[in-house]
Amino acid sequence: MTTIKFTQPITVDHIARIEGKAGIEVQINDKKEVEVKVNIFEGPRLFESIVIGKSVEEATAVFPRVCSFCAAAHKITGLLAAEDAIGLQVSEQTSKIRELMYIGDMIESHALHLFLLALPDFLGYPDGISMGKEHPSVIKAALQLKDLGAIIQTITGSRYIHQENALMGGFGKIPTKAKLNEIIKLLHDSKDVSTVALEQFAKYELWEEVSSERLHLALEPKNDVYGIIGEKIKASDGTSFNANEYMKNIEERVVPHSFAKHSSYKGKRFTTGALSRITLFNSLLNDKSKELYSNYNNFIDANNPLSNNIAQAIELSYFIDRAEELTLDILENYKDEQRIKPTFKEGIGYAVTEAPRGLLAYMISVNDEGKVTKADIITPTAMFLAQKEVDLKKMTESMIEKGVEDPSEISKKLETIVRSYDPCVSCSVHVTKLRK
Amino acid sequence: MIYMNKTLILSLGSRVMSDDAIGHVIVQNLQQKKVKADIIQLDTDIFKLNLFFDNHKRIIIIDAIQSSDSPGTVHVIPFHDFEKEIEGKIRGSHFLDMKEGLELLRIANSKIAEAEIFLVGIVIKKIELGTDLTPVLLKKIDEVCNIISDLII
Repeated sequence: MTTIKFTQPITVDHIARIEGKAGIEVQINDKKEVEVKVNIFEGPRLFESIVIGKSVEEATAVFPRVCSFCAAAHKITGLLAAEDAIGLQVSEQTSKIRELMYIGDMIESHALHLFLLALPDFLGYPDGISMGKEHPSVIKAALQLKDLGAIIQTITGSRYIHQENALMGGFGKIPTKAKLNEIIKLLHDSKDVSTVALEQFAKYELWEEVSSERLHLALEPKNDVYGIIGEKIKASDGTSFNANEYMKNIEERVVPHSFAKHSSYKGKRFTTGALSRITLFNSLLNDKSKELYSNYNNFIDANNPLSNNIAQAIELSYFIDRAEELTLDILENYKDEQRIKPTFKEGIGYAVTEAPRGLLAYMISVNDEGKVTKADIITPTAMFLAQKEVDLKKMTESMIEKGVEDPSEISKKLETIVRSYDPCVSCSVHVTKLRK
Repeated sequence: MIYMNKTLILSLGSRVMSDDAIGHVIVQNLQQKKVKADIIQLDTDIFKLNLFFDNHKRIIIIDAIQSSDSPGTVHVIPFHDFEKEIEGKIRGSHFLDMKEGLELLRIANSKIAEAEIFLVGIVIKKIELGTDLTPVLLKKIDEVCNIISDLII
């Protein structure tokens, strides 16, 4: 192993096991002052520009292409913003089926991140394959849960990704009762493995070095149901703002080292995601998840990014229960209804939802022909990037203080911290505007 | 899911990232030719194979690959050569490493472990936002379809 005295930057050219392409660069000067940059070099996708001039219905089919990890999140948030723009109210059943589809995304995304991207670090394996060979039951649980999420999205959205069945005003085709009962069975069969991830992560202590006070932002759940849908964003400093005011409250700025912007709230960096949700709204979890939250409370530190893994693992169990509750409700009140076809008028619509990685904000402006005139998207990864860089700086400083001089030892810890945020780099880069 | 054929053909790739969509274009051609195989367009997540696998004997994965070879070059790589070929000369272009995903699927699903797996990789020229394929790739479609047809059992 090579030992150097940091005459060169510590660099991770390509962070493994995250969605998209990003790297870390750590500069340490003679005074041992540390500067950390998370370089997002995934090419900008400019989705907001692509949809200008297109019909808003077409735009809501384009937005999910931002990402294959959280396509349903982009689909539903885009639909909500588009409907808000023209004042279209959907049926109660549509809202429930959309929530179910979104939960499918949440379950699939959490399962993938927890088991296959984050867990190998903690179990001491370089990758999922090495871990899988010695822990096949963990991999089986991972795929069972991931498949569950994908099947829920397939049944509700007609496709396992970029679900075209979800439309403005409702669904092209309502899932049949038989298919909904199939979901019930799969949910029931998955309960045995719903806490496998939690049990695994709880074997490891949080790294205290990376714990520092931070501001959390999360969506206040509608009707006091923990989860995805809401109209107001609450901050851990006690303030709040309405979803339709997100552009005034969340500021974005371009940073030279990244294709993704950095965000701030009231001039302060902040974080968002499962840890923020569970920190601010744990009282709204169901009884079983509240018990998990209580039993594993030692592993939940609102100021420690590694706790995001534990928060996601509790949510995994919660969302399986919530999906079952919703599906039973849809079955009990089942209506073979048609979607409401949109009537277009000029307007601006906003929507903020809780995607797997945190707040996802959309603004869509349409003209009276239903063409998009302006669009804005802020993704969770763009929101928490600035806080993540602070955490990486803190960990590096702590390791240097402890006399660690091996760059690979430092970079390994930094990568684990990055993965705990569950970043989605492809999502984050679409928002960058090219400089003229 | 009930399938009738012994061969499952999957395409990987993003449809909006230019040449990355080459696999999807090829499977659309195979569908039109009504080849004797079950055909699925998987987008970018290899783990979705688990949803569509139904005790098939052979799995053919069609994907864009990056390599120093000239665009349009076709590589047919059996699974047992993935280690040597994919991490050396060529690599997949997606965020989830296909080889790693397949290994994990083989651990979780013994039937997938028993199936013969082939990658048909087409060397691409560009990955950027857009829906147009590089012309040299379009000229290769018939040739790739013929190669795949010969692999179907």
